[in-house]
Amino acid sequence: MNLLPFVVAGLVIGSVYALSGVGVLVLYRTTGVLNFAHGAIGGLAAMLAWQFIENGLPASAAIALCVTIGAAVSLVFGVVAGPYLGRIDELRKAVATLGFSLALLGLMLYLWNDKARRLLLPTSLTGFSVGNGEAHARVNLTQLICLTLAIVVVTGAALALRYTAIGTAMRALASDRELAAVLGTSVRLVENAAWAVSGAIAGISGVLVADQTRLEPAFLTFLVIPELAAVVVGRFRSLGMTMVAGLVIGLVQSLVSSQPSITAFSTAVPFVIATVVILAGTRRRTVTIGVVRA
Amino acid sequence: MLTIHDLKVKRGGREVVHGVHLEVGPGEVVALLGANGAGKSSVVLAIAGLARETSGQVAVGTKSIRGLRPNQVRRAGVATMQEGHRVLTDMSVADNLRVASLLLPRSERSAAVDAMLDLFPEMHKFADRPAGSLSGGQQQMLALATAMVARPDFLVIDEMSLGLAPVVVARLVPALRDVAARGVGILLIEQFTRVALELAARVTVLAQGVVTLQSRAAELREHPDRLSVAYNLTEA
Repeated sequence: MNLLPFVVAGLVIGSVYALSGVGVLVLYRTTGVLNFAHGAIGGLAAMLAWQFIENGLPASAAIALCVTIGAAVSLVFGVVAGPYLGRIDELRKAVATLGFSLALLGLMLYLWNDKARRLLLPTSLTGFSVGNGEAHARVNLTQLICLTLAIVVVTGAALALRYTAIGTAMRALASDRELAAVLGTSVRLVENAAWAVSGAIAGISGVLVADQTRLEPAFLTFLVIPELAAVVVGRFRSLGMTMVAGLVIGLVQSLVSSQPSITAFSTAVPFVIATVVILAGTRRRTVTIGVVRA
Repeated sequence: MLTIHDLKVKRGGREVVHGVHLEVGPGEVVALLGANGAGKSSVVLAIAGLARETSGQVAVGTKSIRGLRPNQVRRAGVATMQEGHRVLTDMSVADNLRVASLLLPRSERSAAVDAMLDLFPEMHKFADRPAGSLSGGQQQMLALATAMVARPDFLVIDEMSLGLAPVVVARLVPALRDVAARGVGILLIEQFTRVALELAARVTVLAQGVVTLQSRAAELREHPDRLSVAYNLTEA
């Protein structure tokens, strides 16, 4: 069986998980909010992109507009809900975003119904072949963009967090919000920046994944599950680990779906991988303590 | 002038500070003393913008800072060192200073960070280490340097010497004198009187949320018995 197409598709969807995971992680570290609405924001951006393209807007303009809308929707939620979210515990913050997610899903179903559509970007029409003989696959330009964008965004986020003023302030908030504020950091301003950046990443992820899989509000909304699994594997800290986890989850998911006997279990892959990594990590810590005692 | 007039602070719905008056001038060191639970830290939280339920007046010059958010208080020129030598533990020493320098114009930031590393040479060799890995004394030094990076007009220090070895405190005292000599007014909150009386020109004592004594430090050095009376208002 030729598995290469599944490897390509898996790495591509995995790179979108990685991209989104980074968006979720940056927001979580800065604001303490684990955003369950990340997928829904991406879904809304993708649905709007499809609508704009249907109405004759060039794809590039539609995408740029929808990434902006993703950032704006996320920012508005952050500005309106942020001051309240700041006063409650993390579990209730996450549940609040789940509510926002369902509201966005409801809005999408109201505007467009639940029919699965296809958002075909012009970049998906050009591509090249890889491999030969038994193992071969076609790679299109959108897929290359997915992979490249994931690497660029992860690297860019790491550099920005390290070297820019806003990135340094985000790390300060992640370290100790109260002290960061006492040192003069404008908590609201920095949090709003994180909401906007995370929303923009959600927007581009939604558009890309809609092109690569299918354009369907509920499907895109619940893509947040594998994205969160990547963040869990990255231990809510590591950008690099989150990226690797996203790629692995996408790859394994795609390979599982290639085998008819186990294809039904492909949606369980993120949970299985996250659970295995958590258990392995816990076990390693226990062993370390044992060594220290000895 | 940092002016505090009739400041009342509630914590958990209960009033714990019942009308405190204080003034700190430029370059002046004023000590706020009192036993554990006297309400000193509540005064600090109120000044820093961390206590929500406050009334009365807190002002820098003519500008009221009561009710402002912590970052706005800092922008108004009042820096606070919180209790427990608090630093950004998972950031490096240099990054701690960088965060504080963000208040300054971009062109002045790195020079301000370097100036603090020069002022506290022992920080130099730790610049790249996580602040959480430093000793308590080193963290307090870093907290002082961090508070000073963006050149505040006033510095409020909560429990500077608590939990620190005497040798560390001995290093901090001249550093604070140096800070005051640069024109920064210091409000020093202390549970232990010796350090405070050594540094301060004036002393205010708080017991159960009310001011029980205001005096020149020199007088208290000569009559320490007055302090113990003021510390234990109810038993006096």
